[in-house]
Amino acid sequence: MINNNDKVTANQVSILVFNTIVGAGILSLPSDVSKEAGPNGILAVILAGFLSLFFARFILYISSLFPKETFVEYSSKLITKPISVFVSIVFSFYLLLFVSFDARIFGEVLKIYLLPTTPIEIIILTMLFTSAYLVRYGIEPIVRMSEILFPFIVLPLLIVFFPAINEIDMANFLPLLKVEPIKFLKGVLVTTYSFVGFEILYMVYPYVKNREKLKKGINYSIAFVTFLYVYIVFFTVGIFGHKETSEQLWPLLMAIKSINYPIFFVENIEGIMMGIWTFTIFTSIFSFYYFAVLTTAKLIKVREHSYLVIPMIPIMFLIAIIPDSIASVYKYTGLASTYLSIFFIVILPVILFLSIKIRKGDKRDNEKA
Amino acid sequence: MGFLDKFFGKKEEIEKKTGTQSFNSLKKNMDYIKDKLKDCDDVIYRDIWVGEEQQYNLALVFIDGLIDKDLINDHVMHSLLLDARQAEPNVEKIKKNLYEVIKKATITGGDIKEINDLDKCILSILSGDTALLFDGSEKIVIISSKGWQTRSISPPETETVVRGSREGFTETIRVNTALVRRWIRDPNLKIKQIQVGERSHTDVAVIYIEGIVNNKVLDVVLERINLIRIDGVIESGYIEQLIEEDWHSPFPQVLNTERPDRVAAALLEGKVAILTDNTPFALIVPATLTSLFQSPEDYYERWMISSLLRILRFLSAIIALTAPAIYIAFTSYHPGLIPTKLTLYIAATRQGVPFPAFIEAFIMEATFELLREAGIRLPMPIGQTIGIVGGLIIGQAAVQAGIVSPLMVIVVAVTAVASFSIPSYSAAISFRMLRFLFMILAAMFGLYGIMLGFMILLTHLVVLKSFGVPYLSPFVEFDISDISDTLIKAPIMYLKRRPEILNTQDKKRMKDLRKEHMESIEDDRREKDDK
Amino acid sequence: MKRLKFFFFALIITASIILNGCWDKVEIEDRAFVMAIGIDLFPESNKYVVTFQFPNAAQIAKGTSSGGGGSDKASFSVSIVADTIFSASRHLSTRLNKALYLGHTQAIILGEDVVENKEKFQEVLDSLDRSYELSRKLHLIVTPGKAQDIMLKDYTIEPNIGAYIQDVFKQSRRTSLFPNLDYNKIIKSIHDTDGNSIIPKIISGKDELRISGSAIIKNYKLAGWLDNEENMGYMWLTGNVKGGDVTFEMPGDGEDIKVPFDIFNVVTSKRVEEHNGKIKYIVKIVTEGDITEYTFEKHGQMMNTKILNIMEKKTEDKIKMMIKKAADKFQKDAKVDMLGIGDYLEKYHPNVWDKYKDNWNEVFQDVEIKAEVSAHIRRIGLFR
Repeated sequence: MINNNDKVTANQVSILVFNTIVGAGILSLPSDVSKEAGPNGILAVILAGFLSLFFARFILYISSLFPKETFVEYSSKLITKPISVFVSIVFSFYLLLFVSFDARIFGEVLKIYLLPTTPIEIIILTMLFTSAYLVRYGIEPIVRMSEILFPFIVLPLLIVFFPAINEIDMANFLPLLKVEPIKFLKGVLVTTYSFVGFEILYMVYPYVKNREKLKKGINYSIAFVTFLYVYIVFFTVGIFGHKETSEQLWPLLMAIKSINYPIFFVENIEGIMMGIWTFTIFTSIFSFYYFAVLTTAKLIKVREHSYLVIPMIPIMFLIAIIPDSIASVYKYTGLASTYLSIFFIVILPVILFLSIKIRKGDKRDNEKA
Repeated sequence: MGFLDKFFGKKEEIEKKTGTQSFNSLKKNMDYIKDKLKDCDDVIYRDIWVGEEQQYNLALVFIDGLIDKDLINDHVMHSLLLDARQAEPNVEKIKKNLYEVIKKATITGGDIKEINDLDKCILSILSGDTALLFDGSEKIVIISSKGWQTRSISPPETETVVRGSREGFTETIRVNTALVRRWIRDPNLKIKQIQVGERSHTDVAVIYIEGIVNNKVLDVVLERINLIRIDGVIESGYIEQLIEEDWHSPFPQVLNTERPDRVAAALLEGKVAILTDNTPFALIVPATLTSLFQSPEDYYERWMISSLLRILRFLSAIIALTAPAIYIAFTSYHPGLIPTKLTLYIAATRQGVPFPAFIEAFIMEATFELLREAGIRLPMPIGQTIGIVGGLIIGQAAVQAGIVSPLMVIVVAVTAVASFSIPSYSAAISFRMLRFLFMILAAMFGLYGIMLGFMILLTHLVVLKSFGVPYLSPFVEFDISDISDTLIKAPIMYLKRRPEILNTQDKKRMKDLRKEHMESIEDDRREKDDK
Repeated sequence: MKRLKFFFFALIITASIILNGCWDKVEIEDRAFVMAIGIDLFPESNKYVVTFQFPNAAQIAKGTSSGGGGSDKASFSVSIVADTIFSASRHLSTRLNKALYLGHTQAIILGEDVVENKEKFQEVLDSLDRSYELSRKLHLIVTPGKAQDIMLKDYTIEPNIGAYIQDVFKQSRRTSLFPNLDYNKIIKSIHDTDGNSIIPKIISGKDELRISGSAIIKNYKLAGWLDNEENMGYMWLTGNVKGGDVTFEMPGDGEDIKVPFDIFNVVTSKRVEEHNGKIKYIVKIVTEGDITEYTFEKHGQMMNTKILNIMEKKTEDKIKMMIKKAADKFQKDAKVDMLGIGDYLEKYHPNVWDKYKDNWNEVFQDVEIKAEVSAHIRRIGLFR
């Protein structure tokens, strides 16, 4: 059934990373960052972008030292097998968490804007099953899918704000730099949830054809994510001001609702945006889903990963419906992103890096002796 | 790869079941043939005696209706009966040489083969050749004499263009291969003929240009054709379905066309063409989604028009796919997303309509499909009008009866027109079918349903491959250069290289000599000025 | 085997979905599209009187196909008493054969009693804010008196009250006599300043609706009204005037002649000066316009630049007067800063803002608001 040769290009991976990162986070990003950093949200986002790029390249670098192995394999060399197995399980679970949360948030937004009475379980299930259909085919269709959907996600997001240019009040970004450093840093931290996604670099390296181009590709990818986020925050805060933005749950949608489109059907745009946003979430979900399945497959050394796809659905479904309300969803995602994300993005690479250095030292010592 | 190796050396016919060795005696051969061809009253057996005293018995066997009677009468029989009287009277020598003499020097027909297998002989007779049997020799001479009635070359009915050749393929494979050769006079244009079909022994020609074509694709094509074991190949569609990769898919992975110019262009791009006897529809492989949207006219007209038309076709496909679904989604689920005035208008016109929007749409669409199907069966003049006009009239009547709303009729009409603008008939059918799927999804989940439909459809398309080429190329495995011939059509000056995705051997197909020429003139002039 | 399992799964899911029905499907003709909502307080109780107006779809249909206006009502207005706004729309379903749909609501009219009651107003605002059905581009307006009175009347100009109001707002540029605020801007202002805003005012005439002037909301409570001139002054101060006219008087034989200055361009800039704890807020206005009416006798005088200069001066004075009226209203009567001065300070002079932000309302009253206006007459019509 799967007649792909499981090789993808650096270009495709860069786009995949972009699509994975841009997901549920963009809706609440302006709100979160304005709450902490006030009118300087844009600077916080840029800073977060730099940090993400740094850590993404870090993870990439570590992966590149073991070109034919995924995280599951090389971590067992670096941090001893039992710990590696444990960390891999947590990693897989971590990715599944994001699938579930993204699906849940998607369901919540959909219920509010498009389908108020449809049970959220159905929305989540249909989303999960559709993703499962794709994930079963392996990595090639996944990157192709993200390649195709990429322009449909980016272009509408960029174009939809054009008519709003004259509604922007540049004064909304003042006062500049008059914010407490701690709050500012908190703002940076808060944007980490929106940058989650490049952890897939732990697992994807062996499948890439032209690896040398990957470094540049990731640079572009994360830079573009940052640009997109800055763009969104710029327009949202420009239209609403940072106080109002921080009070809204999903400022992006609110902004789109308020823009007056002189040419088009005034009401239509938010519906179309919701449709487009489905693609955004879809790309994030199937990416996380696939890598979770891949990690698990590597762990239990199964040849065909497609067997694992369906059994994961109940797990994700349950996680998705555990939180009672949108408030608890965000509470949990906040927890996950602060603790687990920091671990996987910051702490783990450092540990792995140190371990590599130590081993290199050992080897040299061994050779000398 | 093992598969390919097995067949690498045997690109031609598979081993037929072992034939029957012919006999020395004419009578025995004839008996065998007559027995096999018993009750075939259109087979003609002509005994000839040659030699000074007419003692050498020859026999001609052919099938009336398949042969060119003039060839047999004027050339074969004439030379045998009249000219053979020149044979020397020495019996033995002649006997030995008779065969040689006749075969090499007497028969003035063009195409001659020598075989000694009776079954093959019968097959040749059934294909329209004439068999010449000798008493005392087991060798049989097969004279090619095909000359049945065939439709003359006429404009292709399913693919009309405003500008371009008006020649279309006919049902005789030889005529078709000749047509292809008229476009490409390159010795590298190779035509491999295979016979497919246990009982039909249909001639199938695989055509490619050596040096351009991607050999992997070619190998797969030949392999798959060779693996066909079917009683009869009635039309190229059989072959198409048997060599396709994914027969579940609603999308054709093989392009079919009646036009030789399309085949020629495809060959020059590095694709493989398959001609089948008894049908004017040729197959082109590999096919991608974008090739279904290309019309030969795009290349003959100027690039701006072609680009706009191509974009229009893509949009039509989207409309044909989703228009009724969007109508259902917006009226039943999300009226808030339509402008207020339009919403009120729709609500107003739907007062009193007894069906929900979904049923209404379904009924109208199904009716329209019925009308369309009926229109094809009806004789020419009536059939054309029944289609759309009939649909609209029925729609109008339905509106006045209050069963459907006027907007629905417009949506259906627009959808229908949009689906007709897709150049490939097979693709248009797929879109029409999928439209119903989208309608069901829209009826269940509104706009979200349509999005789900897109995701499922895209997933399917993304996985689909046609002979090694991803179906959605060039959007997938992005190569900017290929966009220039899919979404838009770049001016011919920019189409210098063959499509990347086909991975052909020889990449360049055009050199802009004029530009170079102009540039060299410029350089010369500049040098002169410097002096 | 795999395929069989997949089919089973698919079958079960499809069956359960189809048999259950589609949850959100409501046919469009079964909806009542509410165009306008009116909210009042029910006297001597904690409840609201909510009035919904929606068009009569059948009437529209008859109108389009038969070509003649029937004598049926073009739209329906229904009132209901309920505890909250949204239980109102639910309860109405007991009386109505259609489902109310609020997505196309274009105007919400608040009765005076609602805005005078702080808690009630906050309740109303909150329910409007959280709603996902309501469009944020709708117009929130206040009426002195009861909203129900406005809603239950028939207006021949346009029976659809919501559309009527929206169309009037579209022309706000022409007069600048009321602020062109939609719900979005109002709620933003309320959020930013914790309870202060300007809401346009609507009154109903005999057969028509009139939107002019506005209500000042301070701390979620009505704090005063702005009449036409004060409103225009307010708009001058906040740089929102885009069109309209300023009428001034020229001396003529006998009575003074009223001359309109038809504005077509305004450029505003603001600055703040602080001296010894005294804040001066200076608004610089440059406006261009035409003179469209003078008096027939004085023909031939308009090409005289001296006369034009006088006219310009008079225009400037008029504008300054309007501004003063508005400023006074805000500083003295309502005692709330709706002019954006505090906002301006916060953005451009954050250090100054820090000094005063805690008791801004008092400080605001002593701010000296000055306007530097220069008017330029560009065109004078077709005659000299």
